[in-house]
Amino acid sequence: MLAEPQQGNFVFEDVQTPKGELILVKGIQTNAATSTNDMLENIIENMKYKFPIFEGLTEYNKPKGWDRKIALVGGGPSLKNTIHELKEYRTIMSCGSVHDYLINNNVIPTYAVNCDPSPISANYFTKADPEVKYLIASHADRKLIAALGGKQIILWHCHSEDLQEQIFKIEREENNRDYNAVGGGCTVGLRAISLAMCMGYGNIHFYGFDSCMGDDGEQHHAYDWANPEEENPLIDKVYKIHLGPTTGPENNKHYYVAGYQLAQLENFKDFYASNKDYFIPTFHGGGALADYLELIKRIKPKEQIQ
Amino acid sequence: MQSSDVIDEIKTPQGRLIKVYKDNYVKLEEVSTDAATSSKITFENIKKNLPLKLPKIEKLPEYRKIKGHDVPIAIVGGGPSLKNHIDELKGFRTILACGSVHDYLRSQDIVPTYAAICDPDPVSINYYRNLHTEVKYLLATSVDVTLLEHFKDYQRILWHCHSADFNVDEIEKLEGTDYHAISGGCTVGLRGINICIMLGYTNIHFFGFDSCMDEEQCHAYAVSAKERKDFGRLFEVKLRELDSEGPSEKRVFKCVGYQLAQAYAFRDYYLNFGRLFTPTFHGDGLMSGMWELIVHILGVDDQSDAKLTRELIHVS
Repeated sequence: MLAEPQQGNFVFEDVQTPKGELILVKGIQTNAATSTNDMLENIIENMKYKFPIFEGLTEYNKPKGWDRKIALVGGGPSLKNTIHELKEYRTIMSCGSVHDYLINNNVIPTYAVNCDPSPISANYFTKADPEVKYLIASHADRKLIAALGGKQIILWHCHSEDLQEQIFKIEREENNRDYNAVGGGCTVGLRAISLAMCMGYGNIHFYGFDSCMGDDGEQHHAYDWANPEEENPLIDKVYKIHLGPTTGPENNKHYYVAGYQLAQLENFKDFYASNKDYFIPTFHGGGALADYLELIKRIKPKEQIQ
Repeated sequence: MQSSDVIDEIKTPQGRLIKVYKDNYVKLEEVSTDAATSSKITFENIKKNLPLKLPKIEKLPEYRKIKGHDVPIAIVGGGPSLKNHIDELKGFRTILACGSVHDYLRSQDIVPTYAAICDPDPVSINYYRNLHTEVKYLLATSVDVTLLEHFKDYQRILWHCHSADFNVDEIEKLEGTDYHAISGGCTVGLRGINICIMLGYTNIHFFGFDSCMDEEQCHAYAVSAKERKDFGRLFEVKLRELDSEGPSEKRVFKCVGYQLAQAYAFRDYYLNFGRLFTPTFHGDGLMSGMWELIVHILGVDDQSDAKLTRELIHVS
């Protein structure tokens, strides 16, 4: 770590291997841009429309088998180099802001996920396609719902301890349904893994899941911001991190990461530890997350965390 | 056509009535097909299947969502010409397999988006041996319960294959909801057109919708000897040339009864609902030939439906 880590409530473990000390990432905090109250208001409003719900899909909870693969596509810079491979996939799930970039490149995803409650997200769904199933978190801003008007909107609850009781109550009183929600982590990419698994996919291929900036430390996505003035400030600090032992050949490999990417790395590690029996990740395009997974797999659990 | 023009009437082994007119060409009027399964059994199936509370087609997120004319769907029947158009079919993003063609498509490395089944006979299982977890199996509520069991680990979606024989009140009692149903005609292919339209597609590409034989083959793949026997009598059908009156010796098709009925039903369907979709045929056959004629006649002098009925098909 070159930059000073932010102080906050998101604390990562130190990791050690037999080779020596590994990553030292402490105190990274991720902040929600939208307040809990605003999210609850969005949920109440969106549920009035009686959109189909995720667990009502016929593909929900239907194991697909290890030979059926799904491509999960994030917007990391490496996607530019691998996007042509996506044409080989029957089932593609776009995660968050990558949607319009895929459509512009003639890749029509099967599913498009969004869980960003900010109205900014609507800027990345300007090319909605009538055949895509839009898996939209129930707390989505109304601008996004409007941008997807007439298309296949499917709602899901993005599990949050802050809101679960309220959502439970609404579901019971308004819809006579149980509370079903999708957990997973701090980014849409991490939630998308859960969504894919809920639909029965275990053979998951990751594209654009770099969880780091481009090699120059400047490029945040494979595409530009839709609204740079508004979005540039969202990445206020970039860290330089090393993965692997502090001694040995891997020491030279470093990545530039924004705070949310660092959080995503650690969330992925936890998610993988809990769910590795249920999915096999394959990364395309390299990046911090791909290398981090290799590291996680190499280290025995008892040796990971001191 | 005056009734006095009829010089004979022939009843086929399947119970279809063929009228022979004095111009020496046999013309089918009100072609009917016999259901292999009785209405009583069909309705019993519905009563057994509905309590399973499986998802219904009208609950799919894509139902009645307009796709726009630039979004095509391929609807695939099992006609012999399909063999020659597999590569074209592979270029389609959305594919609806109709009836028995499913396993043939799978053998060609094609995974349809949807597969529609409305044959209540459990014999359908023979064409669904190579199932795929990503296919949405659109099963008519009237199918035999063994079929639903056969698909239990896969995506099962029910739809009512409407029949005038159904007691809708009784179905509504079972469902407790409004009665949604798909109508359309005497074959799963014809119902498939309506399914496409209800899913919001208007740009419909037909594959294997020959409605006629190729030499001795009625499908692009083998069917059982029993099924071949059930096809019954073979008819020779002549279509007229686009720009001349009367039948053409160049446009001759051989077809069995259900194919002829399907061609007629498609004609009627297109005349009534043709404004809702644009068909594109891949592969020649009776159905595409008849569609060309309909469009030609309507386009040339806006002929009445009656004239179309009289002059399109000549059967011997």
